[in-house]
Amino acid sequence: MRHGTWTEQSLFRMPPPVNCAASVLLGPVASDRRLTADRSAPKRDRVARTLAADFGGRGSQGNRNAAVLHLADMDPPTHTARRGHRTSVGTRVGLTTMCVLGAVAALLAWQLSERELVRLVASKRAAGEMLADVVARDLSAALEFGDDEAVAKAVEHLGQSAQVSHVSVFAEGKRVVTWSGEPGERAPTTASVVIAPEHIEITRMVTAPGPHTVGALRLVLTLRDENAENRAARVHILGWSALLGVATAMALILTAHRQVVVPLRRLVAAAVRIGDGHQGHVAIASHDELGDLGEAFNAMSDSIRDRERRLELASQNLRDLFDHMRQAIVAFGPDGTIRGATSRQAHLLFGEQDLEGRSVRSLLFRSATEYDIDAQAFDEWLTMVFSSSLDDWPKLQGFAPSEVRLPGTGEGPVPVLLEFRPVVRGGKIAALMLLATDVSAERALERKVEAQEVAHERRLAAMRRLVAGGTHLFVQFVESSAGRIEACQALLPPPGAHIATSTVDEMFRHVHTVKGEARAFDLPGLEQCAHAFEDELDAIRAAAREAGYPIDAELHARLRAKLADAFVALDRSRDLFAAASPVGSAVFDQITVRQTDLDALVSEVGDRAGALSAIVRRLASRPLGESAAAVVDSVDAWAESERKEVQVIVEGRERPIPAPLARVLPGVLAHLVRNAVAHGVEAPEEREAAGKPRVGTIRIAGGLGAVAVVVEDDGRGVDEELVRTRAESMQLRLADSKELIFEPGVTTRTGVDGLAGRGVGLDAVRTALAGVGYAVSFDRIDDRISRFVIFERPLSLAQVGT
Amino acid sequence: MLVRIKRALVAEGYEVIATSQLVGNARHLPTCDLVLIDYHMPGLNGSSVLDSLRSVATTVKSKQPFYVYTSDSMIALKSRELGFDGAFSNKGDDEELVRQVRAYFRILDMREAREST
Repeated sequence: MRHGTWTEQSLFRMPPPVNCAASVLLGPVASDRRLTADRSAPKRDRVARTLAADFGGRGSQGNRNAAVLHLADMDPPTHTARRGHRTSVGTRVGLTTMCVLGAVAALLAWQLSERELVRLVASKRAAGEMLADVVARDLSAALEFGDDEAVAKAVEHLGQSAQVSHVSVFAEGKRVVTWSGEPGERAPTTASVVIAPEHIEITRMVTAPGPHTVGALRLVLTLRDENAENRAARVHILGWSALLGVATAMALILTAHRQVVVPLRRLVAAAVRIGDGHQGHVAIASHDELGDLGEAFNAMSDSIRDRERRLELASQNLRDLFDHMRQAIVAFGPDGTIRGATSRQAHLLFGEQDLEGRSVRSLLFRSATEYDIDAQAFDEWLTMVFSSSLDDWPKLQGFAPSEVRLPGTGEGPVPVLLEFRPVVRGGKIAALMLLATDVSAERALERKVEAQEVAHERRLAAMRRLVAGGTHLFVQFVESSAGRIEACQALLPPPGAHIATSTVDEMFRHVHTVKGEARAFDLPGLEQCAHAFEDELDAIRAAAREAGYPIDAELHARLRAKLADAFVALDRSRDLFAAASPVGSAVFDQITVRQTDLDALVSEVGDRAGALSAIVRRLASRPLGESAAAVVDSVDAWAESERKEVQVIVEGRERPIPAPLARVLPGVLAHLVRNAVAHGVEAPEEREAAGKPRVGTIRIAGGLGAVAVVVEDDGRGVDEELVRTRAESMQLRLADSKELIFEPGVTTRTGVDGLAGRGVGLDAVRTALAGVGYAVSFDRIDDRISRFVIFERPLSLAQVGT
Repeated sequence: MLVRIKRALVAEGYEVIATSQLVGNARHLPTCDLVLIDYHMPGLNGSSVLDSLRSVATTVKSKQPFYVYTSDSMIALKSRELGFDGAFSNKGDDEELVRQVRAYFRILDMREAREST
């Protein structure tokens, strides 16, 4: 945990999909705001706050503003701002259509009138040519014979036609007659037709039979009427085209308004409603693309609504989780001020309603003076954290304060455990999350347990003193107390019977005696049980009349339960006493006799065969626990001097050890245990590396039959190779290498200290045991256990003989 | 109090030499990372004692820190004027002392880490 790194996604220990949903939602929500005016700002701000809160670190004031700004930046110009110069879609469509139609109509009219004009001109040309040919034939004779009058008459006749604007007749290169001709008009030389915009000029050569040319005729037909008719037709067509265009445009505008503009406006209104946080459905009446758009919009609206609901739910869940966490949680940036969401526990722990902008230093080190070194360390740490890279966090975490004490409200300072988590953005530590846990309850419990342990130790010490001073007093107390409680049980009448006041008094005496003695032996549990029973008896005695007091089933059960409690408390005291005694529960089976009397008795009958001798030998024996007591007391100090952790377990403390062995056994055990601590048990780190418990175990157990005592440890064992090498250097020759370790001067240590190293310990053990008829062997079991066995040495034949 | 202080700090894993004969035990000073001194030295001139201790300490280690341990806020405030490097406050509150010692060594560790990088 301490080395963990929290990214924004894991800031609140929420699964990534929730935050992903939040981050994805930012798009659509922001897009909706495009359709809304300023009235959507509160909602937008709320969404931004929610998002900022959901993103924890980004939920700070500065970043909240940043989030709002971000949304605002995404907003295009508002709807209101665009309303002044906008044109309806229908109008635009209508006007465009009108323009297109007008242009098309004008083009068509132009083309048609042009074509008609060409047709009229062609017709007129054909007619003109026919007329010119006819006139030319008619003039042939007149010109050949020089009948100018006839020519003039014919020309005049032509000139009177409204379609003829000019007629000239030429003979022999000169103009003979003209109608409306220009002076200086030159005689044509070939027949031709010239079409001009305003007229058609037709020239024909007049021939006489022969054939030979006698003159020429130039006839000019006016196109005035055709042009006028053409212009009129164009105006007419254009007028109708314009009318058609306008009508079409109006029809389109109306249709577009009803079919497009109105539905779009409904969509806009619905979008605004969504923006305001309401339902934003639109009614769909058409089965066209706009209907599809409406359906898509409704689906989008439902989706947005659903997402908002889920986001709110997720946000609420986060908040609930946040508020129900045991830790006070705040986040702060490089400036040390708290920003963004804070847990409810934070307000309770720091006693502040509004933590936003507060300095985390001032909260953690509220009463710190300017020279407070803890606050200085915190300042340096903050500077270091925010100027370091994320990779350094595991190291930085080790420099963080782990605990502070906050001013309490009457019950003293509140101890608070601190944990810090980095809030990472862009691969850098952007903020720190502080998780502060009030551990006052745990500390109070620890103090209580400590006090109980102290009390237990005190009682144990008292028991030890009692044991040291003679056990018979306590044994007598236990026996008499048990008898008194049993007497009370016997005196208690059955349910439904009356209890006489004299019986109550007798029970009182028993219980009061137990209570007093329990207090004398510092046994508060038993004392309290006796006191509770006294209270019951007191109430009974106060209510009892001459006939006594009726014991109903409930009272009977209660009294029996209290007596049972007293028995349990007495048993606990008994167990405590046995635990304090080096000989365990054997202490309750012992009496104190004079040593001289016992020695005399042993010398008198100890060597004889038979039951009496066996009883005397057993009487003279001592419990194993007595011999091991000194070792148990000393092993901690020995282990500490070797920087090791060792425990000694004594099994079968009550097991009787024959008197001769009991005299040397304390020394023997001391040698063996010191040897195990010095050579066998490894240092805690070495043991852990080897997969063993840190604490080494030395077991002292009473044996059976010829085996008197077993001492074993779970250490590394004896380095037999080294032992053999040392033995060889000392020129020792022994077949069994396990025997070598008992040879004087053989040791695996290179140096000497207070515990071992001279190679005399095991030799002393063997010698001491041999002096009382015992031997010792060593073995390594399963390469896990080093075992020394102390056993009774078999008698030699010579000894049997004597 | 010395025994209690020593017990509290040893329980936290620090090696502690506690003495009421500071001048006599000055030989230990060069090996210490931090020297905490009770301001009250009856019968002695505090400044000269401090100077002499510093001279012993600086023969081996140039920046031997000497802090005054006091519950007097005025003395703590004036600790630098008095020749100390700083002050440990709340004298008598062992938990507070442990907290401050931890903080002091955290600062040392941080500075070492900064210098090493």
